[in-house]
Amino acid sequence: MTLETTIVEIRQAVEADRETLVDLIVHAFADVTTNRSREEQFGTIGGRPWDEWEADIMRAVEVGRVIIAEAGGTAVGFATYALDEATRIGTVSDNAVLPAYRGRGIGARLLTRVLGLMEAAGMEFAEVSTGSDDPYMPARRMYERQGFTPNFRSVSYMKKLAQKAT
Amino acid sequence: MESQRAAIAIRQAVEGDRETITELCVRAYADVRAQQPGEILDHIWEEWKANLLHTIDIKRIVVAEIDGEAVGFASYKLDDATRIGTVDDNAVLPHYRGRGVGRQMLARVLEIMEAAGMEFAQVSTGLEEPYAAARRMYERQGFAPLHRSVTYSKKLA
Repeated sequence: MTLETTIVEIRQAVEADRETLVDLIVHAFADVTTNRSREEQFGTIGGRPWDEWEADIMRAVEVGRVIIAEAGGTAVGFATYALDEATRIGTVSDNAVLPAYRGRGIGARLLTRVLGLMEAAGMEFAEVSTGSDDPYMPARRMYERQGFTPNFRSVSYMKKLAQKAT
Repeated sequence: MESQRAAIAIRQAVEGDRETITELCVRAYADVRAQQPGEILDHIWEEWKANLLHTIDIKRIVVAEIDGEAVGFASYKLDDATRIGTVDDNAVLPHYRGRGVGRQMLARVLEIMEAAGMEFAQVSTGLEEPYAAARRMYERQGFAPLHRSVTYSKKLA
């Protein structure tokens, strides 16, 4: 199989990538997104399925803060980030690799590139949040290998409210 | 003790409360923060205080008062697209804890969310010991855990 030897390139995203990014986030996040697990637990949010909320992230994202991993010319992973000039904290936001391309260091290369961009932009710290449960274990290992240390563990809660007559 | 029986009043915050709320926050969070040392947190803390003081939406804050003194606050957000209301920062001064002040503020915030047509309420809190009381409060009010997460930081070159 040629998959293993295909050269992976990391590049800056451009405006023309937007629909590719929408498609990528829906497929790369399918097994790890909290939007989907929330829908399974509480039902549809705001009358729209989880993948539409996911797609919205990429429709709204600042393309200048997105990088893409390509294997043989096909987009297989992405990472988005934010820079805060006031705190000088760079935040690694959404990032994922398509399931078929995982375990090959693509996520680590995306992260390395993002950290390089943050350093070049004068950021003093990098911050990232991920899940504590099993599906996120590879992500946690990746961050720990890159020198990230955990500083806050949290839990999010949700509650269905009483519906007011409209 | 006299103040144990004093009535708790929950009211909408007004523009003139900004400094009081910021001061309240610094005092209320001091013990929680003492258990989370670290350079990055000092950093975030300063930014967060500045945000409270200057940019937070005062219309989305309720204040708890006992004998006319502000002893707690809760901030929240409403999202008309998802119809999810988010409970944000909320805290009670250490001396006034264990008396249901937080619970009363939360109940008020949930009522406001319902009146604004929100379908769900969400909130995040810590998993470590200083947050155990907050977690119990949310669970008693019918919140179900959704997602556990961990935040990492790294000092850059």
